[in-house]
Parts: sequence; structure tokens; C-alpha cells
Amino acid sequence: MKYETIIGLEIHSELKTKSKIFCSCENKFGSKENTRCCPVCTGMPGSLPVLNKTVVEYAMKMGIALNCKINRVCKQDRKNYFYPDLPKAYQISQFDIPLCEKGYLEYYSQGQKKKVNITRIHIEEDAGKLIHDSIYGGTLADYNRCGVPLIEIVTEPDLRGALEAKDFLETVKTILQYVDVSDCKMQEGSIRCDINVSIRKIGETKLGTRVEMKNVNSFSGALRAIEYETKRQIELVESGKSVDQETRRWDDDKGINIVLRSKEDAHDYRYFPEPDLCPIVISDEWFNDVSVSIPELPNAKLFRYINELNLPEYDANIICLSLIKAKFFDECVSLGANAKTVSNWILGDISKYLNENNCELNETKLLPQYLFEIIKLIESKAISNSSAKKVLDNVFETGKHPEILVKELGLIQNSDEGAIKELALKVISMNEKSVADYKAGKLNAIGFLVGQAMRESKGQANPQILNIIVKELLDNM
Amino acid sequence: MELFKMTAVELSTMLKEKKISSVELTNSVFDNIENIEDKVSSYISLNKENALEQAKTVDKSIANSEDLPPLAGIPIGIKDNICTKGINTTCASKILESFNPPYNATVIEKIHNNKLVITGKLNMDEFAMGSSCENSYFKKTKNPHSLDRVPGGSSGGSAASVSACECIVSLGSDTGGSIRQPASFCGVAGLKPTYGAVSRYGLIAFASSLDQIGPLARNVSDIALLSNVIYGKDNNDSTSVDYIFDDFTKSLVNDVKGLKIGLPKEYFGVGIDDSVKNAVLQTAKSFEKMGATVKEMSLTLSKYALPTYYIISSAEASSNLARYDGVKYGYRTEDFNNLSSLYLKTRSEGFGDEVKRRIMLGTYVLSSGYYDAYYKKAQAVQKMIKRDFANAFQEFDIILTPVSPDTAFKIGEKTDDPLKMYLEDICTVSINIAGLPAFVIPCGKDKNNLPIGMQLISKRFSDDLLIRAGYSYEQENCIWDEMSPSLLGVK
Amino acid sequence: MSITNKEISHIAKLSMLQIDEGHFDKLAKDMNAIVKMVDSLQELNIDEDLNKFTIEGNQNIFRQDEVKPSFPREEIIKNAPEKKAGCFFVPKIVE
Repeated sequence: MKYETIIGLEIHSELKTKSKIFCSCENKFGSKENTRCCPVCTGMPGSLPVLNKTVVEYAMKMGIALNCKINRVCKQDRKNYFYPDLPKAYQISQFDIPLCEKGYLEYYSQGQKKKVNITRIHIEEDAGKLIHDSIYGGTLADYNRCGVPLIEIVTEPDLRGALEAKDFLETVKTILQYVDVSDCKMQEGSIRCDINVSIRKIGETKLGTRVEMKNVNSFSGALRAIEYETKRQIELVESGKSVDQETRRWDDDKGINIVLRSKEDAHDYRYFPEPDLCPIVISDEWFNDVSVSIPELPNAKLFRYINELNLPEYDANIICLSLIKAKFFDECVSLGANAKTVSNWILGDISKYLNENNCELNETKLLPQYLFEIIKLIESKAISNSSAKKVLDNVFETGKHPEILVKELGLIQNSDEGAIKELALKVISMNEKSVADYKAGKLNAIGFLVGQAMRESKGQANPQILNIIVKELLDNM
Repeated sequence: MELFKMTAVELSTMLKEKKISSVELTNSVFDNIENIEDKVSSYISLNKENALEQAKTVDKSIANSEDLPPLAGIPIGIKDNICTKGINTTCASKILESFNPPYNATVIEKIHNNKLVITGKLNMDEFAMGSSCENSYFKKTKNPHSLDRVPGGSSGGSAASVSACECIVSLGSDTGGSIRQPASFCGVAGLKPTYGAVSRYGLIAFASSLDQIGPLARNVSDIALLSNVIYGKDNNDSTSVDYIFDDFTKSLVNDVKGLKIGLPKEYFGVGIDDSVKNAVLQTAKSFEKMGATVKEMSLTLSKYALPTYYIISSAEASSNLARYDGVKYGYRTEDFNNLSSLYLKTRSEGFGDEVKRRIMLGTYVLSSGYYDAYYKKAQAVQKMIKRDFANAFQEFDIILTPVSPDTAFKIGEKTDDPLKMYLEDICTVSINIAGLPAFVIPCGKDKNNLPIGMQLISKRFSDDLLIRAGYSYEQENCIWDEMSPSLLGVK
Repeated sequence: MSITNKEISHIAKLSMLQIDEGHFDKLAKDMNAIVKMVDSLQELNIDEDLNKFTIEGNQNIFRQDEVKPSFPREEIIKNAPEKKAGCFFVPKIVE
């Protein structure tokens, strides 16, 4: 491919504060229209904003997690434009002195370590929702979402290709969950993304004209949107035309984007400092308090998993990407389980169950304690591996302790050598042909005999021991 | 003397001593309103029924010998840009003609808690933009001293109603002189507090960094009492200051000995009428006789205050008024077929010419390519003006100036030239730019018998000093006798 | 600096105001006079220091993250010139 796609992202994430950014209305998704409103968030004449302190703290947390410089003095500004979802006809945002600047994020994409520079993170208020195809022949405006606090994370155009963008987005989402400032429910719109795309021939150093895409509502949608836009730009350039700097709107259902506005129509937002609010000053003490409240971040975890617990990078990465899985993993290991074993279970049968049932690990009945028990039972040879899988399935269903389930289901594995020898002798005596086959050089006849013995013991014989004893007996015959 | 002509401090005593009732007093005020309102036109809307209800409640409490705040039962008029729950609040604009706020401004909550009786909503220049009250959508208020002249603006109704005794005290708002200039034109006292001293929550915004609500009254003691009610930090207003002002009645002391008063020569220059100049210079002499020292000084940046003011106030106004679009409240055009025409027509039909001019100017100075040359520059000059005053206050306690270049001009005299009207503000805007407190009380009359006011300015948080200086002057000079407008008849 | 007619039209558009043909000339004249007045600031030399962002008054005025009851929907939409289904109603927007 002779072109590379260059991507920069503007990620908007709603913060999970209890109240809105400038008023005390509840910050909650999905209520009846205009029932979570007051004069402030609906821009009534005479109303004034007062900043929610927790918004600053959550934004700071994310800034520190993304290695940003936190501006110790910053301010808020008005961004002026007319639209029915914006009751004051201006959005209170941050313009030239944002809360966080010049950070970076290292992440993995397609097995490789990548780095993206973060230009800035700033705080702002969300707008309301417009409902266009109502039965009333017009557009309805619901202001419940007005004043929900947002952080906007802006990256440098450091991403190359759609897959990198998607992986980067996943990592950002993970970090938002790790620092616990957003619930990242894309289906509720709590994380949204504008994408800036340009192309250039590989080897070129100058950046091409960038096109901004809005209305991307899922990570997979981001993939599709970038791929479509890349193709569109390449087609333009190959046919001798040039790419116009414009804003386009992505339509995921139709799989296309269309022009929203051109450069000439670009808004003049007439930013100026918000006179109703005062500067935010972050003392050393405040900064330190917030810093120490940040838990071990995915990168640090990844490093620890690889270097101290000797997990393979691939495994470690998958676990780290999910805070829920990572917490579960950490707990199992702290109980004493072997890291690689836990990892195998999580990546294997547990993930399979989660995918089939479309749920998160913390929504199931499986507790770290239970997985630890299962692992112990296997290690002590009390049960076989296949029995263990049965136990796991049952734990998911019932939430009972594995030790209890093992007894209830009669899965205790028989490792008593004497008993197994008797069983082996019995099976051997019933299968003369197999014995003859083995003697004649067909070594896999053992497999058949072991299988028969397992059936006879209703799966309770320890297959490894059985295998050894059958072979011994056969060899000595 | 009729009750409606008396001061709050006198009436408060009479109420407490059960010599009169609040209902009596309120009826007295409304009788006067009925008599002269068609001449003066101070009010946009009257609140008679509710007022009498409130008065009755106060009377019951008095009868039960309950402890009541000092201004309980006193009738007060409210400028119509202050939100009163359940009472239409229009900003004298067509675009808010039907706006009924679902909440009270913080100062109104305080008025209610202190049991004053709200007589009605007072006329003003539309969205507080103007210096004559001629920009009101509804009516032109007249100067009670001469009904063919303006009361000043934008708090024209607040000043005229107090002057004509259509209320005992009133609230106005001041962004560039809107309390002080009408107070001067109508011969009443008006105070613009230190910026941030009075909550702006519920004051329909014109210029957020300059607006302040303030009291108007017929004597200094009433100003002190009403200030006690409305001053104070408000958690709903992020620009509200944490400073705890002392009881202003403690400043009702006749003592200016040793007070250092400065007369900035730039405020006594060519553009100021001789009669105004002379009246204020007389005042300076009076203060000297009372033991203050008076000295000429200079505020070199004075001439840049007006452009700085018009840039900053228009910029903020253009943004504050963008919300008026026919969607959420107020007027909506009938002539639209899409969103764009809804916005354009609603705003064009709903706003008056002066408001549109200011919005245009504000948009211009914030627009791409002009922001640095205008808005950013004005912010820098604002800092310089603040320093200019700060330096002056190193040497002086109070700065004394005229309030406006002239006395009440004739209705229609300045309406064809906006710039001519803007020049009304040259003595007052610098105070808003610097966030300072300023107090206007009458100090004389011109040859047409029109009131002339003096402006006392002090540094931020020294509002009490202004009360003391004003009170001292008031005690030594019988200013109020001659300030009663003739349309009220003989006292 | 004077303000051209083209600029005036552009500003009107940005301000969401419609200027009738009949009013345009007077507005242009008035705007030019006003802009000339505010232009006097260009006389001043501004110290670069003054352009830096400084804290002039309050700082760190915050609310605690507490929920208080919202206003009833009826109060929120009661002033709306047109409302339907509990929402503010505007002409259909094509996005």
C-alpha cells in the first residue's frame, strides 16, 4: 500500500460525578425528558454557573494517568454558537489554558508497543439531546444532558491506521475505568469520538489535508469510519483531485460520510474568558492528593505481569485491558494461585463463557476464591482437568463453592494406585485384542484401553496415573 | 406629611411603634401611584394584590409583637431585570415580554426574608442598555422634576419611582452608571456596591463582569438599611466575594475629619457642564469645612475608560443575549419556516435598535481577526485603569467627581446619535471597569431646577466609607428639602 | 479602522440578526462612529505583562458534588413558546 492514514482523535468522555458540572441536578442517564433540569443548566435568564470540584479532580486524575502536565492555574472560556441543544447559545469549555497538556500514552497494537502524544485534556459541559423524527413534524429538545460534565482528550496526529486508532481507543477506555472517572458506556453515549483523518504517500513527511469526522458512536464504528474515509481520500487523490478541509458526518447505518460544513463555513466561536467563573488554582497539596489516589495503571500492571509474574506479553495485555479481569487476576494471585495458570483460565474457559453469555466477569457468580479452589483441586490431583471444566460451568450456574460441587457431582478423582491397578487389570482382561495390538507394535492401543478404563470408572480415575499403570502392565506381560 | 413621602427609617419606627400599619402605608403608596403614574410611568407592572397580602402578614407579626427585621413592611420597587418568581420579568424588552421566572433572584429572597413589600417591577432601558430609559419597549419614564425630560438610565424607573414617592426605596442595577446617573438626574441617592458584594444570581445579565444590583432611596440611612439586606456572599454566584461587610448603619456617623478627598482633573474638563462642575466643587468645599482635605489629582487613563467599557460590556452582552432565540422562553416570531429564520426573525423583531447595536459591536470585537485588537486590548487597559485607581487610593480615601456631564436632558434630545448618548457615561464607567463602589447623592440644582448629583468613589470593600461620607454631607447640608419634585405638591 | 458593509453583514449573520435594507445605512454609520470611538485604545502601548493571564479576583470557587432536587418539568418548559411531549419544540432540523 503506498499510502498511510494519519489519525488524530478528540475523545469526549462523560464524567461519573453525582451532580452536573455547574448545578446540583443529578447526573444520570435515561430519565424522562427535562426532568433533571434547573434554571442553570437550561440557561434561564439570570442563572449563573458554579463549578463542581469533583469534575476538576476527575479530569486531573485522567491527566496524570496520561502523563500530562497539569496547569496549576487554568480558566474556563465561552464557546459561542447557536443550536437548539445549547440553551445558553454558548458552551462553557476551556480554550487557551486547559487543565492538562502535553501528555502521552503508550499502548499495544497488533503486538507492538506504540506511543501517542496527548495534546491536551480540558473540561466542558455537555449539550442536550435533539430528537429529530418525532411524530410532531419538528425537532424536540431535551435538556437533561445539558451540563453533564465532559473531558475532551485531544491527541496529536500520531495514530497510523484504523486498527491503531481502535486499539488506542480501547486503551483510553480502560484507563478511564481504572481511574474510575467514567463508566464508558458507549451505548449510553458516555464516550464519543471525533476523528481527524488525512493520508499521505509513505515516505512523505508533510501532513496531508485533514478531514474531521463527527458522530462516531462506537469503537467498531470508528474502524469503519476511518477505513471509509481513507478510501475516499485515496480515490480523490488518485483521480487528480485534492482533499478539501471539511467536517463530515459519519452515518454508521449507511456506511458513508457526508459533508457537514466546509472550511469557509467553519464556526467563528468567538472564544473569550467566562466572566461568571473564576480561575482554577491547583496547589501542590491538591495535586499530590489526587496523584496518590490513582491506582496501578494498565501500563504498570502490564510491566509487572510480564517482568515479575513472567506472563507472556499477549496474555498480560488482554488481562490488563480489562480492569475487571485484572482485579480478578490480582486477587487470585494474591490468594496464592500460579499466575500463568490463572491467566490460562481467564483467557480460556472463562472468556469463552463471558463471550457466550455477553457479560462481564464481575456480573457472574465466579469469585476469585472459587477459581483458586479449582486450581488447588487440580494441583492436588483431586480432580482431572476435564472435571475441573465441569466444575467451572457449575460455579457459573450456581455460585457454589467448588469443593462442595465436586462432592455433589461425584467428581473426586481416584488417584489411589492400587485401585487404579485393579481397574487396569480388569480392562486389560476384557480387551485381549487391544493387548495383542499393542504387543504387535500398535502403541495407540493404550489410548483405547485408557479410554475404556476411564469409562468404567465414570471419569474418576486419574488419567495420567492410569496411563502409566496400563503401560507398565502391558510392558510386563 | 403623607406616608408615601416619608423615608424608610422614619416609617420603620412608626410601624414598630404601631403608629401606622404596613397595609396603611402600602395603600398610601399605591394611592400615590394611581395619582401620578400616568405622568411619570415608572412601572412596567404593578403587584398591588400581593403587596397588600405581604403587608397584612407583616401587620399580623407586628400585632403579635414578633421580632421583625428593620425594613419589614416597607414598600420597595424592583427594576424589571431582577427575577421575581411568578411575576413577569421583562428587561423592558419585547423578547421577554411574557417571561415568568420560576425562581427568585437571591436579592429577592433576601427582600422576602426581610419582609419588605414589593410594589411592582420598574421600567428601564431594554436589557439595561441605555442612559435615558428611552430604550424601553413598553414606555418612556419621565423625570418627576420635569416631565418632558428623561429620568436617566438604565434604572430610570428605579430612580423616578423613588423621587416621585411611588415606592419608599427601590433596587436598580448598574453596569456603566445605570444606578448613579438616574439617581443624579432624579435627585435621589443611589449606591453601586463593590463588584461582587451583592449577588448577581437572578439578575438578568448584561455585562457579567460589570453588573451590580444596588439600592436607591430618598436618604442615606435608607440606603444603609437596604444595603444590609442585599449585601452578602452567595454560593450561587461564583463572582460573589467572601468579604463580610459590617452593619452599614454603623457608618451613619457625621465625621469626615481627616478624610483625604481627591478631585481628578480629567472629570472636570471641557465636556462637563459648568453648573455640574460648580455644584460638585461646592461640595468639595463643604467637605473641607467639615474637616476633610481636598486636593486635585489626576487619573491619566480616564479617557480610555469609555472605549474599554463599550468593548467589554458589548462583548459580554453579545454572548449573554444569544440565548434569546424564541425556543425556551419569551417572544417567538410567527414568520419562520426553518430554524435559521426562527432565530433571525425572533431576535430581529424582539430586540430594539440599541440592543442590536451593542450585540453587533460585541460580536465584532470578539470575532476572528479582531479579538486581539479590541477585546484583548480592552482587558489589558482594564488592568491599567485598575492600577490607576489603586495608585490614587494610596494617597486618597475618596475620589469625588460629577456623575454625568449634564443634568436631565429633554426626551428625544440624544436618541438620534448613539455616540452622543454614550458620552453620558464618561464619569461613571471607569468605576465599573475597576470594580469599585460609588455613591451618588444630590448636591444641588441647575438653573432649570434640575437635580445635580455628586459621585463619591472609594476603593473596593470601602463601601462603608462612602456611606459615612454621604451621611456626613447629608447631615450638614439640607439636600432633601429641595429634591422633592413639584408634581407631588408642597411637602 | 472603519468597518465595511460586508463586515457588517457578516457580523449580523454571526449575531443571528437580520438588518433590513432600510436600516442598513444608519446602522453602518452608527457602527462606524462607535468603532472609531473604541479605536482610541490603539493609541496606548500595552506592556506585554498586561496581556498575560492573571488572577484578578476570586479563585477556586467550587460546589461540592451533591445532588439537589431538580425543578419540576412543568416549571422548566412553562415559558416555552412551543412545546410538545415535555420538550422544547423547534422546526425540523436536517442533520
